[in-house]
Amino acid sequence: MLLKAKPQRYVLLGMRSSTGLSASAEFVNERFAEVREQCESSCTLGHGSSKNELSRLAMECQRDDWDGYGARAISMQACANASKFLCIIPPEMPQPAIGVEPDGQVSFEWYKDPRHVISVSVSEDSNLHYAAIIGSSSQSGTEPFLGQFPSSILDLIERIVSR
Amino acid sequence: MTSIIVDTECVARFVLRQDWIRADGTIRQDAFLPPKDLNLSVTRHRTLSEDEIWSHGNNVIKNHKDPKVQLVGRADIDVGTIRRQNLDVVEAWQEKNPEHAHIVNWPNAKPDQKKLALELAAAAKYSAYTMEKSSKA
Repeated sequence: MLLKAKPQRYVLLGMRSSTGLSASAEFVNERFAEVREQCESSCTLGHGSSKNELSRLAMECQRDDWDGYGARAISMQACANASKFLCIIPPEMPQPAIGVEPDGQVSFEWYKDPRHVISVSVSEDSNLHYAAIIGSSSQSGTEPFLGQFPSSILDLIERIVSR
Repeated sequence: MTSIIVDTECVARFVLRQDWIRADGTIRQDAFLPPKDLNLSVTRHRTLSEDEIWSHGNNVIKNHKDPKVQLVGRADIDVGTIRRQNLDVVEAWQEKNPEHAHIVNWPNAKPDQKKLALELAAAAKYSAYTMEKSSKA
């Protein structure tokens, strides 16, 4: 189904005047078709809407200044790493909100209220940068992304969502 | 002409993406993460009217190529709250926005930036932009 939908998305993305796709638009489309395919195929378990959200953001943030403040375009590697991160989120955990940051990294947020929230960024060099507010305290740090969900981050998420 | 930015002043961070705002009207850290040069753009309220503040917001997105970049709203926060996070607010005059300022003194480490952005987002108050609030610039 999603594969059938792809050609329409390409045409929609590349719509210009009656002259059709420019060479650069076609190049961008092809690159992000690969990203989209990674996003859609890398996870078979749960978090389906998160995959779609990641795909959407990959398309929207593919050019510099996507935020109006000079942000860097999301990179293929950042998107691929984010897709892998989605795959290791325990299925029983609530789905995170996904965003893109000014440096092009993808962020995942678990939120209860403004004083109980954690955000995890997945970097191009496979690090997980996180920051959390839990009541009056806050924590932050970096964990290597080795294919397993770091227990330190998992603990923080559980403290926030189980409140 | 330079002016002292006191703690009681309020500054506005214009929200240009809908996904910076949660469904409950609170603000995500994404709205307050600094760019590469670590100068986060804000606009000082000072004596500006609501219309004038929104006009500056519209100027930010004016002529932007990406139609998804829109003036969604703004996040207002006191300068004192910002400074209590060991950040600072300094003037950054622009011809089209003399009240333009930067939030500066960000740490280089990404996790520390995120922590500060979370704190600022938690303290800020969000106002959605509607056409009725201001005529477009």
